[in-house]
Amino acid sequence: MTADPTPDSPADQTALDGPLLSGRGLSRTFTLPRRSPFQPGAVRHALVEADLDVGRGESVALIGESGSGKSTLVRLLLALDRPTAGTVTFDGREVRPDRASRLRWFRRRTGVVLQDPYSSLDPRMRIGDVVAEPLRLLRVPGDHRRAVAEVLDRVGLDPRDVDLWPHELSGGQRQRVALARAVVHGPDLLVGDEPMSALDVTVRAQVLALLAELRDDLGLSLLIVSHDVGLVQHLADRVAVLKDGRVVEQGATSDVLGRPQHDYTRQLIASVPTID
Amino acid sequence: MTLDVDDLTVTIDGRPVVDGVSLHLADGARLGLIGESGSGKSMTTLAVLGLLPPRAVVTGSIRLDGRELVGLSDRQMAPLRGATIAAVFQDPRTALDPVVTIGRQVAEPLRLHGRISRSEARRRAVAALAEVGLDEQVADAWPHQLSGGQRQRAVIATALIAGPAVLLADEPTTALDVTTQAEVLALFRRLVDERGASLLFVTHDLAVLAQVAEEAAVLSRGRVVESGPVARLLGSPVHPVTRGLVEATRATTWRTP
Amino acid sequence: MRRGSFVRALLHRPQGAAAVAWLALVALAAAVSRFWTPADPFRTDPYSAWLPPSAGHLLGTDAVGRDIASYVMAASGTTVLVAVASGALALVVGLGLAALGSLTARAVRESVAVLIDVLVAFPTILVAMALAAAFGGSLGVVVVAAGLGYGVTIARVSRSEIRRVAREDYVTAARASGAGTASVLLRHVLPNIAPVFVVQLSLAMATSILAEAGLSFLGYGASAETASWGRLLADLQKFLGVHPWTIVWPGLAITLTVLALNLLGDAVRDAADPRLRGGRRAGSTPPAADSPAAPPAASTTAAPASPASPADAPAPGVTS
Repeated sequence: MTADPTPDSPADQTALDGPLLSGRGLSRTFTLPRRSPFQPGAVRHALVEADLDVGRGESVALIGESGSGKSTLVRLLLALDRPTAGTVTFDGREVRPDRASRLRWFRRRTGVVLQDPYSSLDPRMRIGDVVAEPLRLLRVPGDHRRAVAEVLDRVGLDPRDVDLWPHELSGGQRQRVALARAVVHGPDLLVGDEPMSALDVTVRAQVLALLAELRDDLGLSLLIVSHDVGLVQHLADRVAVLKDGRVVEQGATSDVLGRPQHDYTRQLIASVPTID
Repeated sequence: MTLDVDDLTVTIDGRPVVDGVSLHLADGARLGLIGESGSGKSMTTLAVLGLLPPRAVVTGSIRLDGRELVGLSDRQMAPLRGATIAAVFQDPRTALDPVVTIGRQVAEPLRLHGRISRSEARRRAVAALAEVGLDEQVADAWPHQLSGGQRQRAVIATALIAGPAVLLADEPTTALDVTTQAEVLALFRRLVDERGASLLFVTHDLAVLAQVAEEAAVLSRGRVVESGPVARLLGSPVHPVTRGLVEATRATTWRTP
Repeated sequence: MRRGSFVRALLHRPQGAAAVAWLALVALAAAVSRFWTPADPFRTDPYSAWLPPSAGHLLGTDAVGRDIASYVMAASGTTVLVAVASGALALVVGLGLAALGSLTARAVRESVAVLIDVLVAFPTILVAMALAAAFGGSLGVVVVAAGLGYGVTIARVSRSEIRRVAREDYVTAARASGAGTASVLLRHVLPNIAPVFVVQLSLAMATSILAEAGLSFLGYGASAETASWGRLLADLQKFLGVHPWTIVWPGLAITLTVLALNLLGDAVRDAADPRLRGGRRAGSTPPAADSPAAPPAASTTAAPASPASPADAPAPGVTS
């Protein structure tokens, strides 16, 4: 394909060079239900003016403890929640929560893995149907059964297990199913919200290796949310540290974790237990 | 006090969840019990406390300073729990009664094991809370008003208030944030050393174990597969299960850059 | 869900099989009675009153000489009609209100919640009587009253279930895969609220039969030209002191049908739950616990809705 190497307009240029996923000035405020008719409900600033980029082929991690806003940020970036302020763009196009049909283009190019293997799979769906669901919803052409078998094999499961129910699998196996579901439709970006927190360490190591392998084989960009600083070190090119709804530090993993600038980052690193 | 577990076997519904486990917790020592889910480590803790489900069948021996605990009735075990052997469990959200103030809960072991006036109970509760780094105001607070870390500290205060000789901790920091975890682990080390108590620390996290225990036993499928000083287990593990744990931990935990 | 395995699971349990058998019998009797009954259910013959069971009158006759067997058979049609119609109305009203009360904007949700609670407070029988007073007693009155009354109860229970399921991770995952609200509702919410919902629906149908019997007994329900177990009860009850045995037939019919519906509800709930089907496939790895947050392995406790949900199991590292 001999495409013209010089794009025609500045907008095209930005789209090709710019980050894959970009969040600018994202804020999310929650108003809690009021306790009395006379007092307004309490206001919680879950996220305040956060900026984040995920470049093409890049692995980015969001680190933070509970209440830091990292899961809120990820939900905004995935258009699963509406920001109080700020914008999200994917490949140059703006993304906003909308009807499923309007967001199909975005859903097609993103895949999500959630933390809890015990609740991320519908207990009333066989795993073959679970993995096939994105193909069905996004109207992906081609043989779905074959795609499902291939992806199950790729994540280290037996393709003959398509008829199993989630409760017949272990936590680690379920997380593999969740990964299969997240990549079956060929996305460009894989987002994981604490994808390994609920697993035993040996299984965690396997899933981590699998994640890295998928990323390399499929050329994925990665956005991982985690409280586990150690995990992030092994996986991410860049990290953003969140505390109380704000991004307090951001940069290359080796920089942020090796020479932390912010007090909180330093405290975080100092607290992490190690076996060295 | 020493705790000696000899060939302990716990069978539930015909399945041995603890299979011939032997441990030795020396006086004033910190022993770690490490294993993945289903390895039987929590069941071992419950067996020591006599808190296994009624349908569990226990054989073997658990001796506290020579006194046999296996086969004791609930009435015989009750005076020991809280006063001699205390426990801290994993989930700070459910370990505290939501309708009782912290002060009263912390003082409860004192009231259960002896007569004590209300003012004296409060005084001792405030002192215990101070030892774990919590203000006097916390004594009048309700559990839902505290953070996870604060609640776990309150639970530790409750466990230690009656001056037990043996402390059992089952995954006490797993549900906590990493910064809180570091503080709570430091607290464990300090308090146990100051009081000369013996600590049995159960966890699935090798890195956490390394922060607290000097010696450890590795459990897999109800059996002890390897034991020894923690440094040796980390540096030159022998059993495949231990090696697997160490390698997996290395692959997923923090390395000082 | 593969149909074959569901039906097999349903019939495998004795309660399920017995319930299906009885209800099938009732349905069959109802269908057949449209074309044929042993005798004319409404033919009165004063000279044949209170006959004991015989070849000509399998269950005997009543005070006015009607063949009880034919009447009971004919009345089964009424029962089926009332149960199905009330059930259908209760289903529509129940799910509709529940959906309105859980998947909409907060203002709407909270208003509907209050509305549901207010409506639940109205006793169904009183509503039926009020309607009968306005429009005259009829089966329609019974169906509408029962359908509305139990529909609101279904709404109340389903609403909290819908809200619970809506918060589950698999719903988030479905939305992240591109599912719209309709898809989430049909494919994820409905099957997962089914255990609670199915039982409530079967209770609604059972209770509507009782309501019809009671209202017809009181005179607000089926008219004299419609055969009804309740009316027969009413007619025979007057003679309880003299002829105590005849009342057994309509009483038994009502009791067994209500019981069968209750049992069916439970059996359907259990059969539809993949976790209770039991039996792991040969060759696949058993789910050894490999997660600190794992629920107890292979538990077959029939705790409704979420037996293995770790909603209360602490995950290491609380997430924001």
